[in-house]
Amino acid sequence: MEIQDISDDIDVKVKKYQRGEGADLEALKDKKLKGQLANREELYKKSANAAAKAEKWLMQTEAGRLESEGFEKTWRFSQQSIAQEVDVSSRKNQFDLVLPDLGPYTIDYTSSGRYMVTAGRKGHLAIMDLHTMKPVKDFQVRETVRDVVFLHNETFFAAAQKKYTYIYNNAGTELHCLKEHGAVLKLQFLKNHFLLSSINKFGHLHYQDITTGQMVGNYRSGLGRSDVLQVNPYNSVVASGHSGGTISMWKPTSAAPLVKMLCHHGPVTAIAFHPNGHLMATAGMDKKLKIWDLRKYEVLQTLPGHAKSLDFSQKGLLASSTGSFVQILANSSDSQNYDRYMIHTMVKGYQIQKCLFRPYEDVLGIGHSMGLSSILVPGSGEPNFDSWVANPFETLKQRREKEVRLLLDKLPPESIIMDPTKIGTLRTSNKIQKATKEEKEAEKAAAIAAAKSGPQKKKTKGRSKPSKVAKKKQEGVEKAKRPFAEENKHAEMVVSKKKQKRITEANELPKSLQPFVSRKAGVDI
Amino acid sequence: MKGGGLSIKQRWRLLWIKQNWWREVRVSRNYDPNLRTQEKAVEYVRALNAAKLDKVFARPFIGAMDGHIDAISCMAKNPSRLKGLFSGSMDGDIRLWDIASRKTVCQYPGHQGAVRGLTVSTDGRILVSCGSDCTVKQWRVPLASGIESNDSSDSSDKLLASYVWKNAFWAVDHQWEGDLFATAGAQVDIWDHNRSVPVNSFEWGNDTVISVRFNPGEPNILATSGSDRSITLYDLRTSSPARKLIMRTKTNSIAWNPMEPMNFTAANENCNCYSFDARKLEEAKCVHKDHVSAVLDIDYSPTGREFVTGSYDRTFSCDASYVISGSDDTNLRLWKAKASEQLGVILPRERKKHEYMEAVKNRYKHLPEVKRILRHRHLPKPIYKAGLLRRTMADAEKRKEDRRRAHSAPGSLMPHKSVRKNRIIQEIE
Repeated sequence: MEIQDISDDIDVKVKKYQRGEGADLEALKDKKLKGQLANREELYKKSANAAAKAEKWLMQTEAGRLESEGFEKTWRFSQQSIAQEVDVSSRKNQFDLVLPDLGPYTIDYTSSGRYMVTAGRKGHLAIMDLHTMKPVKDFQVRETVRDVVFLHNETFFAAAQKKYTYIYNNAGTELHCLKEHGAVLKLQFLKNHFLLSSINKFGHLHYQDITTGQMVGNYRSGLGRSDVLQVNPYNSVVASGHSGGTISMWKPTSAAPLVKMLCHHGPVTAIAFHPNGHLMATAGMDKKLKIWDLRKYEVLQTLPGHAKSLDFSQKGLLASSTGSFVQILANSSDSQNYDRYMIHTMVKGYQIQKCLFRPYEDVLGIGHSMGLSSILVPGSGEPNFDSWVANPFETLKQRREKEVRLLLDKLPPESIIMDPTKIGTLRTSNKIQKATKEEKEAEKAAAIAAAKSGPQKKKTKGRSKPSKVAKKKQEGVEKAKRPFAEENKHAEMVVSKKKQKRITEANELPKSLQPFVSRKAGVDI
Repeated sequence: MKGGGLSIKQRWRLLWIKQNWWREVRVSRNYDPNLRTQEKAVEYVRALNAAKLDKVFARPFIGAMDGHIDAISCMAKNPSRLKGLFSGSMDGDIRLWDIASRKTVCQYPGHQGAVRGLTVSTDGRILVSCGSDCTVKQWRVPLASGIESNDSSDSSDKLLASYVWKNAFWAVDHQWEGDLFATAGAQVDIWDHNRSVPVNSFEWGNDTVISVRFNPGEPNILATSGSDRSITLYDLRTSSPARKLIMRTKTNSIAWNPMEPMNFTAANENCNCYSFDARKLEEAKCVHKDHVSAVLDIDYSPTGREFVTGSYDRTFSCDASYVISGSDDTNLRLWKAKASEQLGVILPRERKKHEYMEAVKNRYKHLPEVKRILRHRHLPKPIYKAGLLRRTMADAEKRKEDRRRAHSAPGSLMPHKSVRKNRIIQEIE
């Protein structure tokens, strides 16, 4: 009995590691290829099983969760009551830093969740080590700072200041001044590609490779000023939200956006992407929060409310903040619907600028007009980290090694595509096959039949005389025939133009060469 | 109200923080695909880097062994001792080399003319050589592994037997398990170690037999190739030839696959090598095309997965990692089979890394960028040009064939002949 339970349990987990469906081997005729692929599939199954077993027996910690008994709702629990239930070291993650003078604060975490950089609008920049709760460096730049991001590790961060963007060291030394970006409103860092992307006051998008310093892309979005920029961690596509309610998604190698979707009736105020790449949450001034499925580009759920800032956690919880109020939504037990999980209200005057989940910890960081706060959100962080992806307990040696390995595995900017699993697969043929004559005839016949058998509108008061009905039907049939006739005319025109050209060219030749002009159609001179 | 289960985490956290700098750093893994984004792109970049590093570290030449005065005509390897290699030259000089030190261990002078074939008996004690002076000689192979100085007084000791026969010999090969060896000349002769005349003699047709090879799995089967463009299979038990296959061009050499003894590969005069299954000779299993001129010699690696061919050189391999080639410029060269392989003792971590690089390269080797790098070979100009020429000629042929087919009435022309069958004229029982 127990073995059965264990194997069922593992089955569910195995699916997670299989990364999609297996290949269809029945359709193959080549025996050798079939054998080789069957072998491969065996290997994949084995490795997925091994990973599932490792997860079951070797993953040390489980995620926590807020559970309510009876009629109590989970969102009724305040931070104080949660703090009473958890252990000391988790309680120290809950703090409030009151910094009233230097403007609304925005924050960013490193990918391991250990270091945090904050920027106050009036020029205060600070890096904090969250394990020891000590500031690493704290300095003033004396000009407006609009956004700040960490680069690949805690030793570098970029700050979007009044006129230009600057890159600083963790000792506070200014390393670079990036003038080309202009007056940037939002910055995002693409980790796998080492690209710093920014959107500036005029709505221009810039991509800069920070290892070589080369500007990889520089595009005008064409949709005006936009201060919403978010990177999709699944495929490194950057999405910007515009004041017409559209969201456009960009990649560094093309001047036109990959996708433009109309999301809201008013300006878009915030975007967030789920780490698995399928879900996107957007909020607009039309007081709606929409959750989209990115594979079909359809709305899954619409929730009421404003949101100035949205963020998905590693476990799929969605935090939305507006004014001085934060609400955290969770999808219950694998259903796609998000509903309220927790709320947190701050002191009335505080205007929340940004809310961001901390990786690998059950913590939500909030940057607001009077400083920083950090609240506990049980179940939001991934409890088991992978040392070779992001290690919160990194030593200096490990950090250096990691930097070298990241650089070796740096992806070229051309590898950004909407579906990253397509790399290495067969490309389907893009050839537009011209319909043969029979096919065209068949299409025409089908269109005529459809027009003839279409719904007949019956008019009242003596307006539906049989002669008029017949005339209408005839018009419908001719309308159906028209596109085919146009196509034919167009094709004939092309052919006749070619013929004309050939004839004029033939006439231009001296008389002695004219007999050698080929009379056959389709032969170019 | 219940809270989350975070206390286990606290314990682990304290353990982490407590670790001292001198203790081994703990690694924890989480294989969840959601933690790693764009795995395929990362793998592709690693495959590309692996292919480039392959070419950067490619240093195939290890060393040359010289000592011969005339061109090398044949080589033999000792199945029981991998370090020793025999080579015979056009002036009758046979030498035993120690590959590790690349020096001659001992010499066997005695042949009057060119030494055409060399082979070692199964136990590795006797070396059989045959030459164009119509003699077959048997020599003793020294057992000691140390380098001995060339002692001419010992040479008469080393020669065990010398048999004279009617015609010049072209090749010799020893059975893999047994006492017989076969020589190729005007016909195929089967000899026993102790008899001075051949035990048996096969003949089919009137032309000289150029090369002979025994099957590694079946000790009684041997394959020969003749100058009448044929490949013949003989069975010693039936004392008559079993099968004959006539091709369009002459086969210069044959090698059996030591791991799959029913397959053999024939090195042909028309720059291709054809792999056959001995049970079904009507079509070649595989055609190997890359040389630009006649392929003269061929040998399989002991793993049976790779074979090495030489044109205008004689080549073979003792071991799946080294290839030895002997040529007309009187020296033997030692090469690495995989040019970028790291020789010597490899640490387990290094080995894992090499295996990973191989695997990731193989996964993406069909993609254009990786394929271009892996396929690239820096060839000498004449060979490169000759290759291009051959390709244009083959393309022109194919195009003409296609057009002929397109413009002739359907069914009037012979159906498509597959490349595998193309070169075979007929098969005779």
